Amino acid sequence: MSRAVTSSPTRRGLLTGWGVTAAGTGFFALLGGDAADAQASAPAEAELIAALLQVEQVLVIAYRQAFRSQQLGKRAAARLRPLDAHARAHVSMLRQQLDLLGSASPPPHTPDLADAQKLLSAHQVSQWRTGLRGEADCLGLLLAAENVVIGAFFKVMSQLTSPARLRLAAGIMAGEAQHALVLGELLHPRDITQAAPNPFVQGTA
Amino acid sequence: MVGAAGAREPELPRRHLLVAASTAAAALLAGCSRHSSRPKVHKIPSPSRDPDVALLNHALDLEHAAIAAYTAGIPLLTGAAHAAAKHFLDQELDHAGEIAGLIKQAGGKGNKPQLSYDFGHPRTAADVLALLHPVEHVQLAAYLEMIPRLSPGSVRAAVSTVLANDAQHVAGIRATLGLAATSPLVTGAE
Repeated sequence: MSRAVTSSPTRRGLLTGWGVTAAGTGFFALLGGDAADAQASAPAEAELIAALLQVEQVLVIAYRQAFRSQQLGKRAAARLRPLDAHARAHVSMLRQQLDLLGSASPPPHTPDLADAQKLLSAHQVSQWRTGLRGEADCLGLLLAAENVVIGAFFKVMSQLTSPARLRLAAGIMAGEAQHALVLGELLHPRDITQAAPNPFVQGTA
Repeated sequence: MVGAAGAREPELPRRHLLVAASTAAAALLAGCSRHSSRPKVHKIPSPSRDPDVALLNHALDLEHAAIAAYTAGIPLLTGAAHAAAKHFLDQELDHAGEIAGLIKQAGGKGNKPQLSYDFGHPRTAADVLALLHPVEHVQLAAYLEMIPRLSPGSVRAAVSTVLANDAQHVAGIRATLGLAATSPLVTGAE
């Protein structure tokens, strides 16, 4: 199903070696390339799924940190628990796809907290730099992280080729958009224009 | 969220439904997308454009129906539900404008809205929300079905942004109806 596209060793190396030193650069080199660049060296399906897996893992870390901060009120925590579970389910789905693809590459690096912080900082997500002070900080962090994930899926939608994986990616992206709405409603109660501001949900580039 | 949910309201006359739908269509034709990220569809070789035009016209038909449903239902809503429906209608108008633009760029002709839509006889806010939920749900199922079949990647990506926003509409309507949160994966069967 996946195209046998040979990507440059540099790109592959950046992705699979995505660690503390490369965090935020290799990942975004893969997902952030412009269209012409993507045509010149289209990443293989497995690399795209691996990149999505990593960014979903960062989202799981963000939810974990928000809960650990003990800054969330009961109502917000209750609404966020299903979202956290969804992010974990997305990780499982993407990991399963990687297994199905049987990539010859080593399994992608699993991001840790430092990776997550660097990745989000690269997107001007500043809550972790200053510490999570209060519920609004937690919600802001999670909304920003959700938008980074949506942005990653948006970019990959133009590069995936397998119909099954396209459908999966579209379904996950739409699910993340629903998460963004929930977070937006918690941040801006009774203001739907703030909670769902964009008619075209494409996340953060 | 629905202040008047369950309260009996006068039935919206069918004539109002028709006028509302045509008003929305006029607004659509007069306006254009304010948030366009439209890909360069005209650069696609013409043999691959035809299937895309057919798929996109199906999407446009569903957007027209959603616009008509929101336009017809909004007068029966109050409070937060009214505000949300008005906002969602604006976004559906943007979607229709975007999809019509994609069709035009591909050298096709966009389908016009129907003269009327049969939405039954909603009488209450709850009736309207129960009408809007399947209207949005049909759109999700259609987008998920068509996205893998759209040949240019840039069009797939553009349509996925519409799908994602419609998924937000479904989540908003479900919350208003007091329904549980959706599953991790949007499938169109919610």
